[in-house]
Amino acid sequence: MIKFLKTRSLNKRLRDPKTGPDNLSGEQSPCNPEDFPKVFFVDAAPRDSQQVLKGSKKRFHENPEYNLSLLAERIPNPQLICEKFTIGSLAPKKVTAVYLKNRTNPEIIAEVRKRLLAIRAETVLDSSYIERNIENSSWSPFPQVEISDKPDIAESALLQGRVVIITDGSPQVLLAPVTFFDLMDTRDDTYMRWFVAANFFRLARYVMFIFAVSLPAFYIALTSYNPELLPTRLLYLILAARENTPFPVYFEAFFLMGIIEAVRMMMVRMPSQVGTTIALMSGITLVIAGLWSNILAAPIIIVVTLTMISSFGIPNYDLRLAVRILQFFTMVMASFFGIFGFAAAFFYIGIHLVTLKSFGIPYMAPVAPTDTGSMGHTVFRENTPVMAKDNTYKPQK
Amino acid sequence: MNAFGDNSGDDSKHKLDPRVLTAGLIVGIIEFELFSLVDGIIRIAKQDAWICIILGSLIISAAAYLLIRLAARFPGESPFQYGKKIWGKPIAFLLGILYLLYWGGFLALISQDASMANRAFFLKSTPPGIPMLILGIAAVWLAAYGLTAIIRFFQLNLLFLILPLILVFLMAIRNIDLHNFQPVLANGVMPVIKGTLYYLGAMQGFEIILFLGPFLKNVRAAVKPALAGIYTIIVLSLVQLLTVVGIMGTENVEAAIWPGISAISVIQLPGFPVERFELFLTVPWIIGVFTTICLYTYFLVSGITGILGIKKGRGISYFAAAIITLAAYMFPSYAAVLQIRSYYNAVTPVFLYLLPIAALLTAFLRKKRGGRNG
Repeated sequence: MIKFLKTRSLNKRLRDPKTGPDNLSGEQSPCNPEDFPKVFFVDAAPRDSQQVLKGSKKRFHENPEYNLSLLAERIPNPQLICEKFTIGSLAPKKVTAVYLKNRTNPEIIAEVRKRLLAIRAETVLDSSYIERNIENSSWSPFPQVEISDKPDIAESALLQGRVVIITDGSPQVLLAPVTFFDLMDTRDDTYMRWFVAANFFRLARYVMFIFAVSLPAFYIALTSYNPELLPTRLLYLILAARENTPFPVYFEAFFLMGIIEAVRMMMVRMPSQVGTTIALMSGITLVIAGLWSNILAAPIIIVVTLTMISSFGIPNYDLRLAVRILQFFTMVMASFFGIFGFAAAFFYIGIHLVTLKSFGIPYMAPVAPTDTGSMGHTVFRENTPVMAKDNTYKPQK
Repeated sequence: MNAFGDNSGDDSKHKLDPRVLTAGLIVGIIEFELFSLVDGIIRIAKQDAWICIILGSLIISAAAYLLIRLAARFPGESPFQYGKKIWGKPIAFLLGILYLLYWGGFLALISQDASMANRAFFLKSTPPGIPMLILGIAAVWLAAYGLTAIIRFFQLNLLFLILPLILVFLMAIRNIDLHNFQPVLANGVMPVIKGTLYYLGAMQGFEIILFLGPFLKNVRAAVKPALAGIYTIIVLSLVQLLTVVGIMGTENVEAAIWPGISAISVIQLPGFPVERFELFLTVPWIIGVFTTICLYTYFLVSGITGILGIKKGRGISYFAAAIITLAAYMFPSYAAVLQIRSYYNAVTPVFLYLLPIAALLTAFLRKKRGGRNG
């Protein structure tokens, strides 16, 4: 029988110094598959958010009991602990933190517990409400909690020593803490047979990340401030293409990036049967009309399209969203200060990344701070018959 | 700090692995001087400049070992804390003020150096104060998070700093003419010794060994990482010198303002999609300058707070950055900057090697050591 904490009594206990957030915890119990209702439900329909090439097609559901049963089935081990909370004063929702007791850093568990207990809300509409309440910095563009709807990813996170947070009514679970490199990881890399190919694609993804953040800004900086750094023939081609265009490079770049964002938003909102076609048609029409009327130059269209393609190489939606905003930041800096501004923008982003933490874990681990022993699971994919070793979330000595 | 009281920059309770010293030294020391340093050595030692770097490497390695011994003798203590124990409060205060002047002056010099180079290469008509202010704000922001955050930033940038330098060298190899290094020791030994001293003075940032000491898990284990960092810098300096002298010859190097960049600009690789190879050098240049500014901002701020006993450093950081930005405007010309920079290189060995080694000897003779709880 699962009991949940009452919100009112929780608030009272939170205010009490003896039973403040540090001393409180949710109810702990081993996760046994028998305790949960068996839901013979395999949802194999593909989702729009991410295509799956290999691995389990199962995914989480709005029912938290079902989600717990999925995890308990995957890890039938008494060390798997479910810690249950009730959040919401008006319409309480069940929130469960699941972790492997012998794997997870106690400091991380305590921090997750503390942050969950500190949430003051009338209700929790979705797991994203929990996310924004427990992350380290809500001002940061970078997600500090990973969202997943795949039980195998959640299982992998548990084995890494992370906490899975299941929210009632949400088909997505939260994985905390998270590092930048976890967000760049995909299941396909992990399940790929040949580690060389997996590493190649992972490296390509990092390059695509850099392209997505920097390509329009770099183009603006080079063409507006330091065209002498471009190869001569390329420079001639760019100049010839821009000969009759009325607007400066930075204006073209901002204009086209804005259109790309508008098309993206349109694709999300339109029904999928017609949305793609309309988006494609409107995009092509705009580009052709822009080129024919000499309002736009061909090089900027190449740069913006490459940027868009590169941004889709980033597997995590929230990280992709961050990149889309950061693109504009680097573009503004490059427009005002050329290559210097471009570099300065990267310094600012870099400083933010190295000072950002997720539940006490440095966001750029295991690169900064460097831990070569943990890179096989995160930065690269190690050639190993078992899951690669990962010390990123282990207690720091 | 977020609603949960979690300060992302607070790493005080977690000690660092001694291996961080490698990245700390490489990224902390390398700056714009890498491209102009060879000019000074070549003026003194001509084609034997490479011998100066090799001789200098031996002295720097020994100094690194001694500095680590000093830091290990006072585990968990900052140089300002154990300076008082070794020298006594009045002398420690006086030395502290001298160090502050040295760091502040160097920061102004490097800011002005960066500003001039920036004006020459990137922003020809932007007032130099604006880019300096942009770098200054970023440096203060990072320095305010402490040395641990600075080291993480260094680790993040390490590959971006080293890889372009290696790439450029690989492309330059076929242009190097070894005849430019002959005859060996034609001018005698004295120019080589003077050149070695000049090279020793170019290692600004070397003090990071002492400053990182209290943050390391095991200071004694830091010898190998420190040497790895130092030898990487030495190899990069040597590579830079081989490229510059090998391509341009000593006479042309003396005539150039930034010989490192001039040498690279003559490289031609038909079929390679890049024509101006200076583009590759802009990345390590700008990273090197910025990281050194960050490090010296930290030294300066921790110096002011450590010597004057001020608890909160953020306000001081902003104030120091503002003063230095203003100080950088006081140099009358770039020639004056280069001249003062060469004087600084002459004074630097006193601050980087002589005073810390004297402190170690004094601590040894006066049997001063720190607690074991570091």
